Amino acid sequence: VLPVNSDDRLLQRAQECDEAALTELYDRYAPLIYGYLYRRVQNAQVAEDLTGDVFVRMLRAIRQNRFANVSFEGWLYRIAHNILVDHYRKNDGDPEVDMDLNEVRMADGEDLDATLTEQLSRGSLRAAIAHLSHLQQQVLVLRFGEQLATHEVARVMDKTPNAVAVLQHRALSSLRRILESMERSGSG
Amino acid sequence: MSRRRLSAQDLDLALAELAELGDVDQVLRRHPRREQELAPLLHAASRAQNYLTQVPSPPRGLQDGRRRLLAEAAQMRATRRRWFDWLPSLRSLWTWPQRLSPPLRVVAIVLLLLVNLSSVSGGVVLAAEQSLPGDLLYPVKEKVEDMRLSIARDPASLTLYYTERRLQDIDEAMQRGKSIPEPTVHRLEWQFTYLIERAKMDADSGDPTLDGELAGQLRGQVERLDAIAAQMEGAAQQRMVEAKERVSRELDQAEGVMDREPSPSPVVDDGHGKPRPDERNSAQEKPASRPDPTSTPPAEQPPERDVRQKDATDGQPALPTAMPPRTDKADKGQDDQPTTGDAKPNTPEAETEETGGRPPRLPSKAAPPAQDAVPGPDVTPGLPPKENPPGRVDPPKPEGPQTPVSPPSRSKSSGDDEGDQDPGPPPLPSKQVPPVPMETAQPADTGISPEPTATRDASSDGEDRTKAPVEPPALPPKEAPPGAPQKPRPTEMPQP
Repeated sequence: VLPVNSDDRLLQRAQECDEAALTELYDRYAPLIYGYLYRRVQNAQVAEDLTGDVFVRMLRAIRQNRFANVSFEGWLYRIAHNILVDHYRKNDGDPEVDMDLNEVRMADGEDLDATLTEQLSRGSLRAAIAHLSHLQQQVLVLRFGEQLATHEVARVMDKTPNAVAVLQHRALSSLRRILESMERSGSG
Repeated sequence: MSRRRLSAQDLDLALAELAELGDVDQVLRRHPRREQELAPLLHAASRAQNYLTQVPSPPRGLQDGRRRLLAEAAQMRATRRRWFDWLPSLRSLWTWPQRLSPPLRVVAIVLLLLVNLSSVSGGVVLAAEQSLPGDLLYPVKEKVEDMRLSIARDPASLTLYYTERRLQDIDEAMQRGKSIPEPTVHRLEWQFTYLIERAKMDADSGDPTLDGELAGQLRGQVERLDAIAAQMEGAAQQRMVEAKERVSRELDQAEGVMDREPSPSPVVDDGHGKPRPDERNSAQEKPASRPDPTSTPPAEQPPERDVRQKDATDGQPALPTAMPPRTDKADKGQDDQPTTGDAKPNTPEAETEETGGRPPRLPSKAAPPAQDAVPGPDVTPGLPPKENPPGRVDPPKPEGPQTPVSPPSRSKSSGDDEGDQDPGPPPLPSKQVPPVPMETAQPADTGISPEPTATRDASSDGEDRTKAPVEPPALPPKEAPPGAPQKPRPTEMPQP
């Protein structure tokens, strides 16, 4: 069963390892998957490597006629999530190893204080999100990073919209508590 | 008044408005009552959104990933698709029941199992049809024959066909250098015995055409046993020769019966309500050396061949669908037993002429289906119980003072004198043997049988059983034609 709303002809050609079709699929969806993976691992290099893994796994899957009953995009998100889980297992489940310490850069002409405040804010957010569970992180990334609607997130995560709404509620509540706690400890 | 807590759905709606308006304050102004609860969550969501939407460019421009993907595709193109690459696509084969409703699912699974079961069993049966004696599947072939015989309308013709096929199987197995197992030889001999009994019954029924055809084909097949035995060696050859001798002897005697013209003859009761041959059989033709079954200990008597035992319930030869127990001792005992030839009591010349001088008759066809319907008024074909091997034809009941009674029990104790009425087992409802005069088939049987066995002693009626040790095989009850003519049959034996 081909994914719903997918470019069937492109996938059929990709199934036969057609180079042009694969290139088109990659160019169309690789930035999306890279963004998702970056938001999850917060490391551009790792996210890029994992993006390549996602598309190689996709090719093997379509060669074996294995598709999920979701959109091609949602299917790629699922593959990316599985790749991410494997990546975390390989690194003993510690997502902190992916923290990109060289990410703090200062743009030309920016105010140093504002930049530092921004970077500190990003650092605290990154740390706060890292304290969330994987499911809560996933729903936040899909909902606010990928800008997907609740029902779309539900299809990607193979859950009901209500379950996604509850998960989203808990994730935001936890994030708020963690941020408040961090700010209190920082000010104190 | 307590307010309801902010639900996940309320927050989801507020987040949708935040995505639409882009400002937390505007959303909060829409929900003044929920402002206190919504504000921290919406601010956290806004901060997360600002943070998560910022994604740096990939360091290598995602070129490595494209290269890896195309390299993988090139490798897949170079490698032929393996058969198991398609296995995941076969998942629908076992996931389709999930799309059915539970009742339909059960029905579909049951049907699928039935189809599979019938396919497997049919395949085994088909494979068994090509098997030869000594093969693993040959017993299956024999069982299939048994099942077909049990439902055949004309078991005699089918048995004749099976004996022919068995001869061919044995011949082919020997050409392939296989040894012929003893059960196969035993089964062949047993089927011959059944056919001989049928031929005798045909003769009893006064149908010379039928008995001639059957006996003629039998003669041809029995002679082929000689050629087969000549190719054998050792014990197998001895078994085959013994079987051939026994069958040939029975056939000779049976042909003697068949060539006689039916003649009325009084019959004495065997003590079980069954018509028995007249006293000529018991007084003149009984060998002096033969022990009296009533006096001889059963252990000293050689076991009787079960194939000749008589099913007293219907008087038909039992279908050769159940192999009777058999021992070498029984065979030897039978071989040692003098062939009395009293099946042809009229003239010794006739016996010589019938057994030795007459060429085998080879009719064009076997006994027609009508033959097994009612060979005689006293014969009702039917299926015997499995443990009842074919045996002697039950003598018909004499007319006149004789009254129809239940068939004698096989397990009746010995020592019954003539005239004793053994109640025996209750007759089958559809198989009441009508009173008919004694037929001449009985003397032929007497010459074939070996010494009476302990089993027969215990079940027989004494002297009469000894006189006529070969019991007619029982025929299946379902073969019994309900409307068979009940004609009295004369016996050729004079009363003493």
